[in-house]
Amino acid sequence: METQQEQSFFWKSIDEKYNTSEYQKQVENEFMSSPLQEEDGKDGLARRQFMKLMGASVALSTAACVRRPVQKIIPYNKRPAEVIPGLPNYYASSFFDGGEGFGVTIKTREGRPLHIEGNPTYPGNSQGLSPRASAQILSLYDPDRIRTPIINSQNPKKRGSKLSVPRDWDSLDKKVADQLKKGGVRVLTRDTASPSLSGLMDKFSSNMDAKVHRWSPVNHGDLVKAQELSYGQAIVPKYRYDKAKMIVSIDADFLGTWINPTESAKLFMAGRNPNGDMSRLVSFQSVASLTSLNADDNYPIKPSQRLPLVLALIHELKGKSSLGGNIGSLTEAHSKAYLALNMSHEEFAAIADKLWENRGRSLVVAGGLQTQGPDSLGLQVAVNLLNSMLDNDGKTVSYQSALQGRDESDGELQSLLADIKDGKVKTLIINDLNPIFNLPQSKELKEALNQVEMVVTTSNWMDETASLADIVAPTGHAMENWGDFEFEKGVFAIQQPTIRPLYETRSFADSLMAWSKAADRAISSSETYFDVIKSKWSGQLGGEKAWINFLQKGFHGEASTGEASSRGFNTSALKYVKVNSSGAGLELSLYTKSTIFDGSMANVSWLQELPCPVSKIVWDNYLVISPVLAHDKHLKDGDMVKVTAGETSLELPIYITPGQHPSSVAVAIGYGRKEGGELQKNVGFDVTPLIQWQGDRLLYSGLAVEIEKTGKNYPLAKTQGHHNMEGRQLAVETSHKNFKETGDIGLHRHKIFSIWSGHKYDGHKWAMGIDMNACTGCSACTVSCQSENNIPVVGKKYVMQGREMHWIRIDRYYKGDESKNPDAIFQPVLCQQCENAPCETVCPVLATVHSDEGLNDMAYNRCVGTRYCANNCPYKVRRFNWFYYDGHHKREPMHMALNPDVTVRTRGVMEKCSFCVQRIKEAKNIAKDQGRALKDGDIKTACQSACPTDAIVFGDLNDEKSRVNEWFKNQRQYTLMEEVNAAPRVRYLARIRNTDRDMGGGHHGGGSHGAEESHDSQVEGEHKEGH
Amino acid sequence: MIMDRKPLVLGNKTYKDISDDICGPVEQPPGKEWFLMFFSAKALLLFYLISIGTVIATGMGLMGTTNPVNWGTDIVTFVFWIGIGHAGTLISAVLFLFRQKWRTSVARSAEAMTVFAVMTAGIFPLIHTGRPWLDFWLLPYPNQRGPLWVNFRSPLLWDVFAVSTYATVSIVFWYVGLVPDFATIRDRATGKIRKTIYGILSLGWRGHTRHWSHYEMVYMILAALATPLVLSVHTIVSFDFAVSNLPGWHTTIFPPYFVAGAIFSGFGMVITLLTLVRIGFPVFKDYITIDHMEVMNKIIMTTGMLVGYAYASEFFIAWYSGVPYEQYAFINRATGPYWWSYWIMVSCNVIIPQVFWFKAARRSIPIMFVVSIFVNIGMWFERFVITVTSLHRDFLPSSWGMYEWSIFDAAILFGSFGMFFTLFLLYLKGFPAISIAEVKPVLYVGKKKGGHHG
Repeated sequence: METQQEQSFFWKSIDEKYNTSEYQKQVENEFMSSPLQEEDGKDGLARRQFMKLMGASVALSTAACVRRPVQKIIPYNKRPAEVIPGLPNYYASSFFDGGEGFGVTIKTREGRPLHIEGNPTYPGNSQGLSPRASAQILSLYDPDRIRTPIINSQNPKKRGSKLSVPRDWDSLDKKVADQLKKGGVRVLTRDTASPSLSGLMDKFSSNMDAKVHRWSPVNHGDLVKAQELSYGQAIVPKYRYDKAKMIVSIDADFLGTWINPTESAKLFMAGRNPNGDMSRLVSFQSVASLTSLNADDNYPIKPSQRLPLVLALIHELKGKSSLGGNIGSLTEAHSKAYLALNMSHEEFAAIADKLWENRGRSLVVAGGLQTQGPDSLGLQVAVNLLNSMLDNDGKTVSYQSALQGRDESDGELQSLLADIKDGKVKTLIINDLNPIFNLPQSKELKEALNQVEMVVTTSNWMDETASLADIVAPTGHAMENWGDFEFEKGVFAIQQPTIRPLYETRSFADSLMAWSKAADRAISSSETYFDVIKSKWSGQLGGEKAWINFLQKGFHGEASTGEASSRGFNTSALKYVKVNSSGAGLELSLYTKSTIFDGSMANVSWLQELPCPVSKIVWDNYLVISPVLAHDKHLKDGDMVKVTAGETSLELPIYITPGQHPSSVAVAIGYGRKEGGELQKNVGFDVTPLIQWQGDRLLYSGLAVEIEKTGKNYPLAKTQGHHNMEGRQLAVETSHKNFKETGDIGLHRHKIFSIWSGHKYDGHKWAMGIDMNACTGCSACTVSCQSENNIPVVGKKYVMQGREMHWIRIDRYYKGDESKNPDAIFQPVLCQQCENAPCETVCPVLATVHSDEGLNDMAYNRCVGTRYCANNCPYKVRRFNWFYYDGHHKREPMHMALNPDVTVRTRGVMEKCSFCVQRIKEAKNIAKDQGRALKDGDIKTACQSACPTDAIVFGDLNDEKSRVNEWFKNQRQYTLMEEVNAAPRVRYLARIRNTDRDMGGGHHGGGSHGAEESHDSQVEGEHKEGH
Repeated sequence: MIMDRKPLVLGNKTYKDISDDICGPVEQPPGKEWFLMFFSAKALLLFYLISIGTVIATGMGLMGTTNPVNWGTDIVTFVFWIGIGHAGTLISAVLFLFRQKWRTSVARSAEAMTVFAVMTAGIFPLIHTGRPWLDFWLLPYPNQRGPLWVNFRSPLLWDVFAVSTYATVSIVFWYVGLVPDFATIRDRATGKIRKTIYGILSLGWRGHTRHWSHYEMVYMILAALATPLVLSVHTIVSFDFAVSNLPGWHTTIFPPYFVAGAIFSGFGMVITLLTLVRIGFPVFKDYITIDHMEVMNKIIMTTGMLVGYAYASEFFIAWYSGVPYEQYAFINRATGPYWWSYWIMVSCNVIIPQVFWFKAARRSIPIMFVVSIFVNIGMWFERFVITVTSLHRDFLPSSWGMYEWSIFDAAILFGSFGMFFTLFLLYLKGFPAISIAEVKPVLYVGKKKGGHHG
């Protein structure tokens, strides 16, 4: 030390020279820190330095953030035999969506389901799907699904707090089994059409001494009961709309929401060939629905007028039918019920006569949530009587092919609630239902549930009911589980899983088996539900090979199409036919929308953003009121009103809907979810408090209400705000009479000439035909397209700004007097793939160009986004990515629903319908592999493949025999706005309305009505203008 | 009898006075007013840049454009600024060729206005695209993407050429005119820095006879080149609309109608700017006289009536064509949801300029300033009416919608004024705002003594 000191001749400071302790401390730090740092941040960076570093890093990170994150591709270590990367596999399957059963084929790629299509050979829905069926894909990848079984292990009195503990199945099974042994077991479930599951449930019920209560929020209890009373059979018959030539619907929305709407639409349209004997549909509706909008003639009614009208019809036919003698004076009081609708006797008698003329070939239907009023049972009995009088039973009312799994009623729910109150229930298993959300007075219900020792739900979401349960045993999605169904008598469908469960979920049947086994009362000797199904069907069908066949085909058995002799009508049932409703004042009905239905799929954004086919509103429910009522009460669209029914009152926005009776208002259920998924939370309004118990039935209709303007306004997002054709020749229609006589659709055709010879096509020349006569406006095509083409959802705010992204939309126009019963017409509009495409010439960078097969190709990566093409598109089908909608910030695992064959569009580019060019390519490749030419029908676009009524056809115009060529030569064909001379490659077939009214026609065809209409009518108002 | 010509320069100025007056603002430090205006303009410019940056970083969705109104504020304001530019070229080139001597004192500023307006306008087509970072794809240049070429059939591409040609020619023309004056400043300069800068800018100008001879020839040739641009640029801009098939856009009247409107709006802006220059630099009142202003007011009134005629004939043609879409488009303009914008346009462009029938109004600085502001507003709304009201209701009633004006539209519209005024104020400080070389020859015009040209 000393020598060192002597050696250092120079010193920097006195401290150094004398080597003080301070100095020694200093030299420990090699570098002197700044005085600022010493003062400011003793335990960290100094303030200024921090600012400097932050500034630099912000600058760096901003500069770097434009790079996309690196994503790794991992090859299969051992490739599964059936998976070839890049090639899809299709699996036949089936599922029940709460309202309808579907036979489907599910497309998978690299082991994940991507797209659902109808199974074309399946006798039910065939190729058609409903919007909800298509949207099942997104439901599978719902990020809010419960991922593990959960035990809520708190004090039952405090249920509802969110402390829930994820558990493994073993511990959960043990807990449930211990509880089950205590007895008092109840199961609340939907009725199931599954033979295997009902077998297991029966066994469970006997082994566990459990009682099964079958209920669902949208059930057909009154219909089933009326069938039982009238004919002694508690069934839901299959209605043969295809065989009926005259159909009268009393609030039965069979094209939208009521009993298998997809299959019904298919059958209905089968009987609507305008060149043949076209059926007629007359609708009496208290709630404007898809069915009333598609009716040839429609009459708005009040809920209380339903039964009187049916009685008046019976009265008209009383003298003619042999059953007439048994009716007595039942109908006398209501024989003139039509007068209340401002109908003349001739007009009303014409309907009755037409029914009678077509007896055995006519059909009267009533039903749905909106008919569940005080007279509901009587209505169903009266309708049965009418059908029996008309000799329709066994013919158009096909009891022989009754629908299975529909035996649900409110009464069963009520008896369960009564038993809970009586303390008879120790364990309650709730399967696939959300009663806390779907039922009124949920407070009482919550208290009732608290009296149960253990509540088990099989919910896939932490929904209103699951958050109150002690045990949540998520069942997973239908596409993850095995199952079998008998939706229609004699037709058995298989439900094949197409993906291994994404999460720790287990089907309800597997849970039942596990619990019974853990409780030492096994209901099946098999290990899994799959084994149950497999052994059942390979046994029944005759071996392994037949089983494989069953899986491949997706179903087994045939639907009976034959007729049966009519069942004897039990006239004692007529004592239930009583008109209970007073019918004074404003009457409210609750109804279901075909998009959201009972709310069970409310967390699926595709459905929330699918325009309601009737109102074209997205992301909301609203009080539907007639233009007349709106005028009287000085209400505009979106005005909030206070709806008071007895002691309950709610505030709801109104939406003015033509085809609605002035004294009938309606609101859809399924909205206003509070729990069970981020997306659906607080979308719309929970209207369940308006539901009332009446005895053992829930009342949804004919509720006396008062409405009162609040002065507040609520923004409603619509995709179409103008419902008048403005005298333009857009959606063309004519009457069946005129069409049969003249073969003319009353369209002014333009003479168009060109000095240009046009494009030449040596190979294919793709084209599409759309039959507006077959289109019901159900919008299944829109969702199917969304699933196929990775179309993003933008949310309510941006729909209000007109930024919805759908490639195919259904335009809906009204014509006639909107205060009475205007006609509606639907027109699907997608990219018309114009020959003289206005979009192509104006793009400065050639991002949209004509292909040698006649498509307007869109090169996304070339697009700079000038949006000139969209301005110049007369059909306004182009959609712009205003933001990065489908980017990497998509919530996992929703990205798995993306179709890898279709580019995910980035921000700032234009997109539009491509005629599913990826499907064209795929079909070409397959044909090439098989060494053959493409056949007509090889290519089906996504919209076409989902259409239940076959309203869309796609094919090659250069193929003389193609169906699309046939359609292009049809006498009903026309091009939309021919005079613009964009020469669309899409042609429409005009709609034919089977009515006796004069439809006009002549120069401007269907459009001429619009011109006479006043432009300031109440139904109008631009989208977005209202907010 | 020949009427006496009015003097073009007031006050008994000598040649030296002219040099002193015009070089003054360049040579002396600017006043408080200039600083106040400059910093406000600059603040607005910064605000503009931030708004543009936010929109580019987040997406075009922040703006009010939507389906079916896919073009909005960006395109409206683009056409507005391009239109403004036209008066400058008209004054400096067309009037030069017609030997209109009164143009000399206003030509420089009018042309500066042209250059800055075109620069301001040029930003908009770039930022209105969905992916502005790929805007260079609109240029036809050899590339390795195929090569992938541009679409010469697209009016937007014609725009690229029209606007870039216009910008180039205007800048060159303006600069050539500035050369002798830069030399004057250089010669008067006392400091080294100023001498160097203006020395470089004046390109070695020595005032040699040969220089003057070449200069006058080049100036005339450039004037001849710039003249057709007065007509062509706005014609081509109007093609963006006229060549499309949209009712309300697809009309043959657009090219002359747009040119008339452009000159109208340009003169409106010239009046606005020159009244401000007269206030800011009172000494310029002797050069930019009330007579100058009156002449320009006459042009405003004339072109205002021209656009009025165009508005009327559009309605006539819509009726005469028998096309229901076209007829609806025009009825909708005047009576639809955007009726107010149509009537703002008609009031500001057709009705208000009629006050210039009165001589007193033509010569009143406050009145002409107010009218010129109305003209500017009216012409912005003209483009709004054309763009937005035509788009919002076109062929299919099902797709009708509204424009969703957002705060970003407002920010970008007003921000663009920040850019324009920042540039113009810098110009007033750094450039001789009146052409010294051109004013000196007309010093004695209209004056009794001297000046045998009379």
